[in-house]
Amino acid sequence: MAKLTLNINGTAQELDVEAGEPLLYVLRNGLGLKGPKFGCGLSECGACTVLADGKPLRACIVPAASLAGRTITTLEGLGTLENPHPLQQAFIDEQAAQCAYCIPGMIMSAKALLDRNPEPSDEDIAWALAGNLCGCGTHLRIVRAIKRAASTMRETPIDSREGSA
Amino acid sequence: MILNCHLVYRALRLCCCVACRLVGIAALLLITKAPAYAVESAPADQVARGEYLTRAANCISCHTRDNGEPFAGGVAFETSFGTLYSTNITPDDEHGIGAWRDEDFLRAMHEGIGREGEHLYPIFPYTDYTQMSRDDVLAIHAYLKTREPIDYQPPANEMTFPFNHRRLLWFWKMINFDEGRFETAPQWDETVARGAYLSEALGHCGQCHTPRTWSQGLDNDHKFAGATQRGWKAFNITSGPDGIGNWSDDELTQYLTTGHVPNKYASAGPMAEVVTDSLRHLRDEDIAAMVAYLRQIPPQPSDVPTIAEVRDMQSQRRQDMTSRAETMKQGEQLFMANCASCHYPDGSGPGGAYSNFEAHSVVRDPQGTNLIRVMLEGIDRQGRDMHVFMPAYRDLLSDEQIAALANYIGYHFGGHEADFSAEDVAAQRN
Amino acid sequence: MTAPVSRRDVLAGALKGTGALLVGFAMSHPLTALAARITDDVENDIAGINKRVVDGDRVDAWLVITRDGRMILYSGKVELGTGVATALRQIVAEELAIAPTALEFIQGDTELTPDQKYTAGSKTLQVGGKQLRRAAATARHVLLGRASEHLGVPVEGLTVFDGAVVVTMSPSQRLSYAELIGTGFDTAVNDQADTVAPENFRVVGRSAPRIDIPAKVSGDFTYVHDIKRPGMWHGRVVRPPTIGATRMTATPEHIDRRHLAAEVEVVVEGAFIGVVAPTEWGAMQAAQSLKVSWRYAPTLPRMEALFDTLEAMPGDEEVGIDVGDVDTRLAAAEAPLTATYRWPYQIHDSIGPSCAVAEVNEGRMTAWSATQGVYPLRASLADLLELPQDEIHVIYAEGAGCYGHNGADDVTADAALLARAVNRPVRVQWSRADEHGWGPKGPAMVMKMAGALDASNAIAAWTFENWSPTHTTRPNADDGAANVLAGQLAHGLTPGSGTVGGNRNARTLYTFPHQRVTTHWLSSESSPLRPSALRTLGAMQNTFANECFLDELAYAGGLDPVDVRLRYLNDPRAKAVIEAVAKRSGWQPREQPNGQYEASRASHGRGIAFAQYENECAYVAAIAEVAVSGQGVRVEKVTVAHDCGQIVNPDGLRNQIEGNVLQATSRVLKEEVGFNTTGVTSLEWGAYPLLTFAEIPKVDIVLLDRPSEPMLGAGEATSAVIPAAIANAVFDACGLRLRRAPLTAAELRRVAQQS
Repeated sequence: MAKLTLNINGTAQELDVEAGEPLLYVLRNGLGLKGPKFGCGLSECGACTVLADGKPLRACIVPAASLAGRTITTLEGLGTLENPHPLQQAFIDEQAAQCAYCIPGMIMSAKALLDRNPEPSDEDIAWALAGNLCGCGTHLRIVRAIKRAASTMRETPIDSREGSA
Repeated sequence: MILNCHLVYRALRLCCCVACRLVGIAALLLITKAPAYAVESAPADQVARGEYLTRAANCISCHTRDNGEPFAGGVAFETSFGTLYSTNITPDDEHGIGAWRDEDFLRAMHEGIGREGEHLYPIFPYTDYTQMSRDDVLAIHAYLKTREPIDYQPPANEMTFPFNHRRLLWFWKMINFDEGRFETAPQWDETVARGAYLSEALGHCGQCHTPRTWSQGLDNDHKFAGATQRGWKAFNITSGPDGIGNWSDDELTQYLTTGHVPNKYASAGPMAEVVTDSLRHLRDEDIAAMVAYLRQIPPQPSDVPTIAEVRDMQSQRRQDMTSRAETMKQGEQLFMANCASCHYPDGSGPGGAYSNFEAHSVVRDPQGTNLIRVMLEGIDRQGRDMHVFMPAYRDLLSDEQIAALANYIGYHFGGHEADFSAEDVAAQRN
Repeated sequence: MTAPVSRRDVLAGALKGTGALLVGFAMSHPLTALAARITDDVENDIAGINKRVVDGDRVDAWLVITRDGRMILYSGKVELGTGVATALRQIVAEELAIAPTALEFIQGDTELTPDQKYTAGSKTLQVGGKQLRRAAATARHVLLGRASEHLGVPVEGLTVFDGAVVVTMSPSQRLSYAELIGTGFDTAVNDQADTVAPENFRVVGRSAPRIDIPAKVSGDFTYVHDIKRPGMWHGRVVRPPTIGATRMTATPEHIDRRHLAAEVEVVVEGAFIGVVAPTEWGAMQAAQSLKVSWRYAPTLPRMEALFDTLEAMPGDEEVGIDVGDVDTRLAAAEAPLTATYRWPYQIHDSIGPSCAVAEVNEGRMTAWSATQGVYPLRASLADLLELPQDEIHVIYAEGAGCYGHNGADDVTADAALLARAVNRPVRVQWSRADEHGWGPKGPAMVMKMAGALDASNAIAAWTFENWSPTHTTRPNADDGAANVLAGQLAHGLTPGSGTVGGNRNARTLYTFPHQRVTTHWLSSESSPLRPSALRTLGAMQNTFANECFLDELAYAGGLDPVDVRLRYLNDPRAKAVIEAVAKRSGWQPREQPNGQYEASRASHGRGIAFAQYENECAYVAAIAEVAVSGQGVRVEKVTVAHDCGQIVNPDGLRNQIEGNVLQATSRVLKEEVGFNTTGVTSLEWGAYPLLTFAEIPKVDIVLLDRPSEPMLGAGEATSAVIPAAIANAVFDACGLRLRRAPLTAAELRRVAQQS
């Protein structure tokens, strides 16, 4: 066990980390975050996706200790049940979920996409989600939700929204 | 020296293409060659020794198909003349070599002639195995006879005309095949000679690493200069800076036994198979002998720039690639999502075995053969003490996406500006 | 977890009238939090109720209204990610004239909910919805009766509205359900109770946003993976090399614990070997570090010999239908056609590998599980643990997408064994390789067809013959521990046999006068890989063969594939979906394939397929549009016409149909379990890939709503027809008949080379 300080969802957190322990288990078991999910442990499916300094990162495979000094954002860092991020709201509005287990990873990959491309085409979205798998077959709705979120965010820039990350 | 012998024979053959003369020469050689060189460190017991030699000769890789039983054959080899399938070499009487006598096995290994007297396609490397001593061949046979017989019949070869006529192989052999046991060379010490025997007679390194002639024989004038086989590039492993000249002995040893040197070199494709199935099982002194042998292979140039050359090219490169900025951005996005969590491109993470892309010939090679291929096939490699796995992305990413990744990786880490297309990737899929 | 807006606020909104009611449930998510409540809290919160009634004959088993106005629906059918937690609320809300969001939803709990067996087979609305509707209708009649007594107004003069019984002519005279509930309904469910007439529906038949989605996209929702118990440790199971094989031959010869951390506990029961550690990462490392040498025998056929092996196995023959004089007609036919269709083993595509938590308190076992049947699992656990059933409490908690019998039950048994052995709460999370390798497989099947046309191009004869094991080896009381993996490992058991699913949709709806349909039932044990239920069971395999072979006959006779289907159907609802899909997709009649195979150029085609799921449930027809080249098959668009009777939640239904189309496309194009003679070798997504975003087709859906017809399940029906529609489209595009799934580029090139 070693102590590690990470900035997670805007708060500096001092954490106990085992040697080689991937970030995912620190987030889920150490901090009780339920957004990042375990899916494959091989960086194949994207269910564990979080953002590290704004870029997508597979928390299931990256040792937490290697991330010292980075800023980590999980699904919980985007919005809340009461005040969802436009992406979260768009997934609700489009009913873009079946079991929804993959959705947190989809939203995080989409967040990274919209940060660099506010007006993505269907193809841009497909490429941004190339590392995210969905077993239920919700793909079409996920694409629609991301386009809807992009549109909302263009109309109402994120900075002007209260309480958003 | 073995190289010179080859040249002499080839010259002789060119002068007098008469079959009976060749037979005469071959007979002469059999008599005049030095006694066979055996692997002395191998255990005395014939079956145990056979097992070690079978590993050193890596029979299993080519004779075991995906999801198939060991040694049962059925691996497809796509050639420009059609598809060949490796044979079942388990001791099954009907489908394998259960009915083979020692002499049948010897004739196949030494002369490239099957049990029915047919010429064997040289995809089976009897051109190298011919150098193996009689005792070693018999030890391999003894070991194979202890394996589980598998009643599996590999598919029939699908060779196009006229290559479906085995008798034509007689001509091929005349040009490309020297029947005869291993000979040491005067300038070799015992270690180098052992390394040569292990690398040539058993390991048949040249089958992948040596370029081919017009007739698909080995071009030993450019021994180990690098070649492309089975869709993978086997890189230059000669002793110069374009080969393994800058590798330390420790690095070479580590590479051969584990399949990688962290942050520098990593094996994939057929070389990963060689590590998994063969090299990791070899004794330290045998690996050291192979390293010693590689050290004295004459340097050859390579079409893969060195790290220094890559850095030079990168420093002189114009700032951006406006015409390809969009695909580069797409490639970067894909890289961040699919690759970066293991490969840590900016070097800030621990990296393990996977970072520092510029060190890898795979990345620097402007042809991108292995770069594309490793993304398609992934890596599943067992080294001496570590299993390494990279997923195969052939069904997880599209051709366009793999091309974009290859372009991004090649440009940012490999220093080249190759423009791979979806068609290039499609061509690499089986 | 606290609801951000109180339930009372929502009820208050709902009370403002019909308009407000609908608005109230359109902005539904505030109540989401309630859905995720741990059941203990609910139990403790309900005033005056100590022991739940779980007898499904009693209204109180299904519905609780508390004296402070909470309304709670108890369902033995559970939310698997298909949206039934919302649809079932809609059904009950309709009968009680309340907003669906006013209902709390308690599901799958052996101490709280009625036993509705498994949530499977697209029966949640069809069967479970019907049960709930009757219970809710009975409840309404009870409330009306009580109000009538209290108010002195005959029932005919009363109306239920917004959680209260109201005097119709004098709306200020009202009694809320809470005021009327007393100590409960205390009555039996009346199967004859009048239900709300479809023409009066205000809730059913309208798209309602799913109540669970907001918490699932915010990270607040608690999946089974997220459950934590005080003092909980983490377990992993170390299994033999015979990955996924039905027959257990492995025994551990030597267990080397030297490399384990000191605190790790090792549990050994037969060939069941587990490690338990205080942390999850510790447990993962312990599972890696524990070195076990196994003695085992390879039991699997070579992968390339699988189908011949299945066909050669002895099996009980079952004739589904045998009419007319098939053999004579076939013998007399000028050019009879025969074809063999083959379907590989497939896994469940759940993105989250199975997980469970178990703990023992004073000898009583409690397990949180994503099982499809808390009661049947309890029975298997009882046998495994040698405990009476009432000493075991199984509580459902949602897992990742469930498309049948995946590892959810197995991992619960793992957790239960480990928790008992180490006497503390244990959470077991399967690895990706566990799920790919050890989860039950959708069975591989062989379907042999023969048929012929007569001189007038009528179908003169039709035979279907298939080879299949049972498609369910789920936990149950009869098979007990044999139907959970831990029982198979610990005691060398093999799953029980049966005859479920292999004949599903083997018989078609077509009125061929001379036809025979035969199923050869293989025993579970003889199925090389462990077989069980995967979405549609055998209906996907059988419909693939039936609908492709009908296409073969059609093209052989120069008949249009749409026409030939209509010609042999009598059921107007069957014809209606075919006509609807043809019209919607702009089908052009065809008598020969549209294109020819060219490796370097894409050719395009369309194919149709139809089925009535289980020959008595939803009707579905689909038309696929594909592009075919040497690079493989690309599905560009799928149009579906769907009739599942009365539609409860149209958007939820569309979501299901889209999911069926995409998942079935993935299954038919890409998915196949790889194995060698020892065990499964495709243990991650690279080796067993799913459809990606770059490969998804457009989906266009026509819903044929029939409010007066019974509700029919929609969870699977569409999946059954998609593979055949795609394979038929491939033939239309390029003239090649692909009869071996998956329809990969390699398979396409193989067929092209042979033709």
